[in-house]
Amino acid sequence: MYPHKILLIMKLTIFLLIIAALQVSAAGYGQKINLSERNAPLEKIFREIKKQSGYRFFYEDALLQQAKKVDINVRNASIEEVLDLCLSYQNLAYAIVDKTIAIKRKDELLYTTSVPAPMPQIEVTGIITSSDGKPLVGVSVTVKGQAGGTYTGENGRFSINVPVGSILSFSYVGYDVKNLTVKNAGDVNIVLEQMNTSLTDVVVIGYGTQKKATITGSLSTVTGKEILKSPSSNISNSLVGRLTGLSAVQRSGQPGNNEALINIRGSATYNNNAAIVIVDGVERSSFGDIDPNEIETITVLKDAASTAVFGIKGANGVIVITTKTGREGKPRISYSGNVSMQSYTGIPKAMSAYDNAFYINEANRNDALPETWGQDELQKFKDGSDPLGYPDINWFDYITRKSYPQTQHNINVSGGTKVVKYFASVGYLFEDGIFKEFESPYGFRTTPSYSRYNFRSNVDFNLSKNLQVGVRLGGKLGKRYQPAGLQSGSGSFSYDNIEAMISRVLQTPSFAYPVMLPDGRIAQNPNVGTNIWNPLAVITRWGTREDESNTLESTFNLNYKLDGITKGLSFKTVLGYDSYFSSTTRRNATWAAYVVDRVTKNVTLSPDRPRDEPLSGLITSTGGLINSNLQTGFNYDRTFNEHNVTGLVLFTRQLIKQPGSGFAASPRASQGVVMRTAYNYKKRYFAEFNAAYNGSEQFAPGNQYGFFPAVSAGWTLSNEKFLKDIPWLSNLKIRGSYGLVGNDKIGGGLFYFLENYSVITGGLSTDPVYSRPNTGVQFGLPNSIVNYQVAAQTTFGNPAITWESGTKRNIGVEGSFFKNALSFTFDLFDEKRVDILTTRQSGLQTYGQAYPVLNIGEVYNKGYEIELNFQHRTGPVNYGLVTQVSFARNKIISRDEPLGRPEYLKQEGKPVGQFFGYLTDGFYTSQADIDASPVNMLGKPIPGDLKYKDYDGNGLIDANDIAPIGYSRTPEYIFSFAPSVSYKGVSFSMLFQGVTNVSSDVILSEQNNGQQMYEFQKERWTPETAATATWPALHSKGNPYISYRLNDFILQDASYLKIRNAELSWNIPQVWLSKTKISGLRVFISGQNLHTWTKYKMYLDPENINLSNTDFSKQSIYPTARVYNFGVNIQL
Amino acid sequence: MKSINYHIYLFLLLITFASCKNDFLDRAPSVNLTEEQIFANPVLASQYADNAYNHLIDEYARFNAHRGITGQAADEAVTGNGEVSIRTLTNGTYHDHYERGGASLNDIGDVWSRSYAGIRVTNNMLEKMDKVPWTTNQEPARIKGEMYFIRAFLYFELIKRFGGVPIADRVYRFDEDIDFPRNTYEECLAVILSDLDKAEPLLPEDYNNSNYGRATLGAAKALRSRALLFAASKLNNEANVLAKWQAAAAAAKSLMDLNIYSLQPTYNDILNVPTSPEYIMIKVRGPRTIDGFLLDFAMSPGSGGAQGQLNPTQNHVDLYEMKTTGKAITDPTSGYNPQLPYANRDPRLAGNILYNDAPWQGLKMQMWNGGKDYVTANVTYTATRYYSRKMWPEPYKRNVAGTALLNYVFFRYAEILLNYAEAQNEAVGPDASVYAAINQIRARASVAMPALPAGLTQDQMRARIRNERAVELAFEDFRWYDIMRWKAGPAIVAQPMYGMDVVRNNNGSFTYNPVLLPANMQKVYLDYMHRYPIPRNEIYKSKGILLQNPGW
Repeated sequence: MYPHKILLIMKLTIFLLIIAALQVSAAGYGQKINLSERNAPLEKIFREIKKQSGYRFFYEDALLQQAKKVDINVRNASIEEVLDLCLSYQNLAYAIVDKTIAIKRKDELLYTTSVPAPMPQIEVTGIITSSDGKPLVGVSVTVKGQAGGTYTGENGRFSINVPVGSILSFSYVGYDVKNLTVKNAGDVNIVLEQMNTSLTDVVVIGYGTQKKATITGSLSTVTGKEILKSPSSNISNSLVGRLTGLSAVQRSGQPGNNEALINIRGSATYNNNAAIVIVDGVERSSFGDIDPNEIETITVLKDAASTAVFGIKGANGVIVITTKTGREGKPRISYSGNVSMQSYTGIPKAMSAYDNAFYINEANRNDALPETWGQDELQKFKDGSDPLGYPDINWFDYITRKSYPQTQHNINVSGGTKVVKYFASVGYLFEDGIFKEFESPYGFRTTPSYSRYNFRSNVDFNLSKNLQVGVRLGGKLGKRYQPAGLQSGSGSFSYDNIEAMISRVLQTPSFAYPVMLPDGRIAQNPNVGTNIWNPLAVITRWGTREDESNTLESTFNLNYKLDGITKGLSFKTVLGYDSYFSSTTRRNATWAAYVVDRVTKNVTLSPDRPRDEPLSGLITSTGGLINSNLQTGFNYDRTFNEHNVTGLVLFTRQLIKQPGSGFAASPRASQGVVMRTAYNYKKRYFAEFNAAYNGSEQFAPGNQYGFFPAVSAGWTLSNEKFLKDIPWLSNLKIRGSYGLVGNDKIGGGLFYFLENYSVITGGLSTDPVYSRPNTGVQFGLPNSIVNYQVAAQTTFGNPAITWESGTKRNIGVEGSFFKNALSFTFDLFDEKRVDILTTRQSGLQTYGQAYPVLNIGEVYNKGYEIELNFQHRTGPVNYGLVTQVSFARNKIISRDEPLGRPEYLKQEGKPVGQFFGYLTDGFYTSQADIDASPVNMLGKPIPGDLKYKDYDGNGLIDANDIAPIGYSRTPEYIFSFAPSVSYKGVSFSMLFQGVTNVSSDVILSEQNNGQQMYEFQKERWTPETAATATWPALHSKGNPYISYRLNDFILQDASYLKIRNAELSWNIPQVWLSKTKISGLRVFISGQNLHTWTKYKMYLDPENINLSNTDFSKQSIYPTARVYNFGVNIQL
Repeated sequence: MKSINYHIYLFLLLITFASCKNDFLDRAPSVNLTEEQIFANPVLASQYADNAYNHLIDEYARFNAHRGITGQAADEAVTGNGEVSIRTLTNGTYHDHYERGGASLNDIGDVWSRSYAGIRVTNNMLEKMDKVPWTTNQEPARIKGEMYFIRAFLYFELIKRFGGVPIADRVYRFDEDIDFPRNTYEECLAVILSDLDKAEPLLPEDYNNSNYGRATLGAAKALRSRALLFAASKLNNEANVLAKWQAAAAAAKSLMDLNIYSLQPTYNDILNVPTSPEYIMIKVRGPRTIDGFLLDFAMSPGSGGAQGQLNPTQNHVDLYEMKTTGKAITDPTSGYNPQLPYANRDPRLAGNILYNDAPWQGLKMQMWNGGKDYVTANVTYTATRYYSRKMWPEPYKRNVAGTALLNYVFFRYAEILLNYAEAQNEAVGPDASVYAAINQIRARASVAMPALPAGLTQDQMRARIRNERAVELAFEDFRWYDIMRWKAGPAIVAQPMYGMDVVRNNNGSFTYNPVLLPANMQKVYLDYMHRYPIPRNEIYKSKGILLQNPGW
């Protein structure tokens, strides 16, 4: 085995060695050889010498084949004597270097006369680790100036034989190259530094990859390693603060339903502003449920140059996810396990029963109503002497728990040979929920939860020199569980989800009723308010809902090099086939509740919950999707001297089939051609042209296709001669792009170009009952009605409907200094989005039916992004700081608003989602103040109500005084800074992240059904506390309409700064593991959403809002989790 | 060898580009029907026509889905929980009345757009009428009559609320400039009358059982009666032109003279029977289950409702006369006992109002604090100690599978008698026919109120007619518009609103004291509010051509 290996190395390095070897003056080495051969080939002689002396031979096979056979008979001869005898009459010379004998043709000596003295060859071994002490497997070890080399094996070990003085070069993807001059044999330990934004990096772009140094568009990337720092169950929540230009708002914390609202560079449309998601080259519906361990990188494509290839779909930006592939080497098994405790980031602080009752009396007095509670009753609340009649229950505390677990496990194996590389992964996630586990008489769990199984198998084959084939399969099984009430017929006012459960808890006041009667019957009291159902009964006796979703995403790749036609050309095809299946299963029950009279303690059946009913049968609904995707075309990449040219032409096609009826049953389709051509000269001047000609089923035949081109250019100044020699400047580049992209997700519906009449049968509505135009109409006797179908125009198409198109401009500067210790990226962008699909607002209703929609909206969006990255190492200490700032602000230019609408009431000229409300001018201080102020048409104010400004100056406070206030729900500024430090195997990193210029209209007040009040309301206005009040005077329920109309006092500044993430990890030193099979062991503790600084008043996480059940109060939200995590990562 | 390679390349090229099918994107389902197909088929054309009915205003509790009736804007009732659609009408911020979108039929923006949508359907149908290859089965004459009737009805709903409106005399294209000025009230009325002239000869007197509910000759005459009464009223007849009153009286008389309709003997179930000799036209609707309207609006939470927000006022209750004397309770000789306020009253009080101790669903209403139907300062219970009996049919009980009819009555005969009495009294004074009409209503078998005293002056008679109308048609969507046309809002609506305080004494007796309702239930009605504002956005859209009503 050894000779072969050495021969192999020899062949690879022969030229240099020979040159070196033949310079050795052949001094005696004192080895004695005995030989007696006749007519023997030289090989045989050499074999014998090796056997007796241990000296090895290096030579070219061809050399010996030409050599003459040898007769020899010697005893106790030196090696030199033997060699002289054998070679003297042949045209061969030899040299001995460190027990190695090199054979060479004599005449080549001529070339070597001036070569410096040769070095003896030695074996160098060692371990290569990353700066955090983790062994690196698969690091390429080469000798400078020679071909070939070796790789590190398991444990990061390598071994190589080289002459003394040669330079070993260690390189590994994502790490800086390190060089080492060999001085002596033996162990060396090499630490490779991870590169930051190294220019040799290859980054993922649309339909391919590109060297970062040659990029002329704007994009940002985060690696799977960074994402793994966040112990969030949904990776969309791990991205915030790590990618410039990306906003991710975590709206809810519900297990399995906590995906962030993501947008890229703010919003340039008031219609759908969702970015498209590409996973492994294929458009997919979402990415949040991918196991983070499967992810290699996530890249966000932002400007026209990088998104133009997506043409009609690219305008809102693109999120590109790449999953891991195997590397050559033995199977590497990696296990990671995480155990987390979650807690909520905020829960409304409800007043106690006594406080609540006390303030309700005050609210009644304010509205000249009799007090609800007598003094004796207040006393009972206060001293708790009558818990049955006058209970004090903090329902949120009663129902929820402070901590709830989450676990995540992943095991993956990767490896490969020259022919096949593989990565296979299985993951499991379990996330538990905020409700305590109560015993349900129907036997179901009262805690919402989510469990998810992920698997992925990525296999790549090099079938021949020219043919590569890859198969990637990714799957997910998710099961979301929640206790849930009835699904309501009327849309969002439905109790079959967790927000509805929480709304019931939130509205049940602390004074309402005891949890149970002493005998265990459920207490309730309809007198407290509408639908104030016992929260315990709500979560233990109302039923369940289970949402299952199964996903299988498969991707097949084929690459075929067509160097035969022309060098650098290759054929590529990608086929994606995904199937999604989802089902929802509900079961419902109900309960008997009992009212206990506060005074007499008489128990009666509650009229709104008169009886127990057991769990119903399964109520199931299913859904699904099949998505097929094909891309096929040619790649070209070739360098001519200093000119580098790349090109891409790709045909793309996508078909999404979905179940449904009518329009919704139609598949969604798109197809087109993608092209890219890039040119650079001397890696200094870059030019690129990207374009797509593609279309979508959304538009009328003949109007389906559009052409979306983008040009971009870059100039790497640091590669110019005049900057080349500045030692502190590593890289400086200016780049810019300009182009057109489209968005075909123009509205909620389909086929806006169609006009259609339908015959409609239905129309027996129950609530509200008044007739709806374009539904069936009823005649006949009321007790035996006949439903007559009607014919009506149901769609009002505009055949000229087209996509939104955005003209994007981007200018970027990037640079790095002091050997990349400090680097920055700066991008300045704007976009004008036109042809936004807009419902006519300026058309008079005397027209008598809906106007066809028009492409007349316009939005202008602009902003900038800055990233500063500092990394430094002093001795064993590594430290760094990454800082990011993103800003985006948009303005609606045109939305077809009525011309006569006053400017300040128009959305035009303001950002998408701008809040409108009254401007406040403090509180009314007295009745005299009210009398002296403009007449308030909204109601009859009392002192302590918010005083609104008469914005239009007509002497009345009315709806014309509404003006823009605050911002929108989408933050304009997103910033983060992430310090990190590591010492040997110990690393610590943090991510601080914040947003500003953002508003939230979530409000907690006494105006809920149960009149539950909150702690901060104690700071309400009263004549005595007028000077210090921070909240308006309290009102009885049904009197909310002055102070709680949306206004600039109620609208909250939802800016925040969070410790979004922190991680402390320790790589167990290698020596401790040397006796085990474990090659790497890392333990870490981490946390997510650890702390929030905010001015936001409503106790909750300022990011949270209930958007899923808009008929419930906006604060009926499932709070975001704060996660404390312990994790371990084992490499075998 | 080379040629094989080229074949491979050619093949790759082919699968790349040949798969670019041109029709790959043509995924739209074939259009079901075009307008041409609709009007080329008599069945489809008749179905197109039927859709016009869906544009009529056909429910009482139509504001904010099911949370408000016009009576709450008027003096009939208040809203217990400050319902936004009512509050905006009672505090004079009418522009905000339609602020909540979604499923609602609010009285300004929604009525405006719904009426014009219906007018478009009728215009289109009438334009295409003669091109449809009708067969006798479709009864084209009747359809034509229905279209004229519905168009007239919709214009009436518009001018009742807004005064003169732009007349859409044909179907507009979407790219046409339709920024037209408003026509006058008289011009609109002329359209209504002309449409009714055309409709009457085409409409039948009655239908078979499966078409009951369609427009009849009687309905057309009833609409004419109502339209002319409104046109003769002070709001639209400042000069008090008597000819207008005469025309209104004649229109009512014309319907009375048909002798098809008569009063139903019972009053309490006037909205709850499938057919009635009194019904001229109703919205046909099956028996209701307990729906949002009842649960969230009409029913007492103590009797299974969720929110009892329809709370009649003391002001309204006080309008019911004493049964024996036939006198108003304000008359010292009426026999009214403030501590037995509901005894010996006009029987229609019990038919329209649920008051304390009234028998109901086998129990009695408990309106004292802590009683099952009232809790102090709790907005889900009545704010006035009254619920509306008329809007809460007795069979509905929570969690008991009860259904009952609650018809929306477009026209019933009692209204025509009242219309006649009012118009005739104005036109010629309180003659015998006026007495006859009013007394006919008072003499309804189950009501049996004493006849009006002889010798009333015209003014006295006017007051009695208005009072009779308020009582007889309570909660039936009349009072608010009557007040507007009488320009009586400042005198009736902008007055203190009262409720009743009920105390249950230890001996089981009750003490009653009318109390002023809290400030948020008091109402604003300024002198320009007799007409609604044109929806503000419509004004904004117009280039100064569509003009707003004065005051708004």
